[in-house]
Amino acid sequence: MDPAVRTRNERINRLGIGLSYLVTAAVGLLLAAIVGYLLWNGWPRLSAAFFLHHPEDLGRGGGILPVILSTVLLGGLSLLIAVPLGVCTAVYLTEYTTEGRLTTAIRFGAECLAGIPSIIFGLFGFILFVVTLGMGWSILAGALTLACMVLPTIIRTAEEAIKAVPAGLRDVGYSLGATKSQVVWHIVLPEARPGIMTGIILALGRALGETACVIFTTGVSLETPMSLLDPGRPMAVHFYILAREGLSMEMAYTTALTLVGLILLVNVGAAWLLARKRSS
Amino acid sequence: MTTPAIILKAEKVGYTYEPPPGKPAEPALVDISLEVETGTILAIIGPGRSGKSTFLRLINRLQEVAHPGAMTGRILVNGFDIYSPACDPFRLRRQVAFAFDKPRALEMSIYDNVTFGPRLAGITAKSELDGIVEETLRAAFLWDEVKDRLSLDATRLSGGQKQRLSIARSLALKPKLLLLDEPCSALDPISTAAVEQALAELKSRTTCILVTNNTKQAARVADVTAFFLMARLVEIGPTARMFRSPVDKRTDDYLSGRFG
Repeated sequence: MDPAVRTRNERINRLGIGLSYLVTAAVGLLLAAIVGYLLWNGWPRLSAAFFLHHPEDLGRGGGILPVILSTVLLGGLSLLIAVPLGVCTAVYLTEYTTEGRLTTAIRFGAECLAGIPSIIFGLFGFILFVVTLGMGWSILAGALTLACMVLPTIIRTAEEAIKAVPAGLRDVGYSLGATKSQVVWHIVLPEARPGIMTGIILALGRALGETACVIFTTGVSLETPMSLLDPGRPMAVHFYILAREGLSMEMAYTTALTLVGLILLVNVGAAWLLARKRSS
Repeated sequence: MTTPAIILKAEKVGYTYEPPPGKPAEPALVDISLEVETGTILAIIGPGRSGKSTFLRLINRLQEVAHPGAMTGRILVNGFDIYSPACDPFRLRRQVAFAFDKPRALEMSIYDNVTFGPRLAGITAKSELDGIVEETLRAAFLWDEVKDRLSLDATRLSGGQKQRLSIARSLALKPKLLLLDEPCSALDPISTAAVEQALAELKSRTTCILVTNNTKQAARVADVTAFFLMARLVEIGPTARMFRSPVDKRTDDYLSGRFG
């Protein structure tokens, strides 16, 4: 090759590599900046007492125990509702029906749902669950509303994960005398599990960080929820109120730091679960 | 001398895939008639798209699971018409097992892979399953390599090990007939030798039908060889005779590498 062309190619190559490093570094820096900012502002107040005590003086002092409890209950319950529904819908769409008007309609519907702003879900949940069905401001009403909100995410990712399972694996199942449902349960879903898990984590992240939807349906009570029909206040809402009402920016940052930590913990936990499953 | 038992009988089997919209239907199989004796290995050879794999997939009714198409003629396994309404395809597939061209491990442990079929068939006793695992892994020449790590995720095995695992998994159902669809096409020569060795030993317990693109492999392992070409059965006969003095000119041309 002509040496001039070669040096030119090498220069372009080096430029490309440099650029991709730069972009990657920018993304990493952005994440580090956000976490660093939260740590800087939230760390001084972080202590065991902050997790274990009740809030005092509208949240200016004390801890956030009931807030953590509300967050965990809302996140867990909404997944408990949305995951079976979403995964079963995905199984139906991919395994039990042929492409046609119905599947197009279901997919279109799910995509529209995904694009609706969360405050609309909040209003919908308020009218349906809180008022019409008489649940009042409660963990249950909030979890149902959150489940509606994250359902499209779960359906979409589960569908993609199931579609990615090679057809040959299904054949193996059938060749061993399995029925269709046995193939789906014992072969397709285990194979699709990592992809489905990714969708669940995404959904959980959205549910945990949601405010607009929850204010309307679970309320803002700082009391400890003793049943699923009690109102509560998850961390994202607590943060919003502390900051918005000018109650305590320090407590707001510490709450935000706790929320980010919780989401990080969920991500790491899920990755660990998947890795353990693989190596066992 | 008693007449050997016929385990598989194909009578004028024809098959046509459902054509894509607007295209004419082309038959994938035309008038295939052949018989397989119990305890032998039949190799089906022929160039790509000659209908070998389709024929194999019809024998345990795997074809209808994934592909729409129309079949004519009859296939009898031990004298029983497997396309009659009385036949339950799920039970049939336990008696007529299938090993695929691509090594595929199910997303579970080696032990669970092998016992997958028996467990579906309702066998739950641990001692019985343990016995099946050891027996079939030995038969597939895999036991010595994995006996100390049966709980290992089977997806971590090598390609050749996975292929022998697939064979063990099929054998675990104690099938009367084992169908192998180009079981060595994705394997290196050493793994291929291991699979062929397993096949030779298998004859004593089950009849095998082996589809292969590798004519030398047919010559090494098969008792009887059938040559498929363009949806038709050109010739079938004892392997030694076939390779020494084929009757049909096309067989001769294919075996000597003039096309294919």
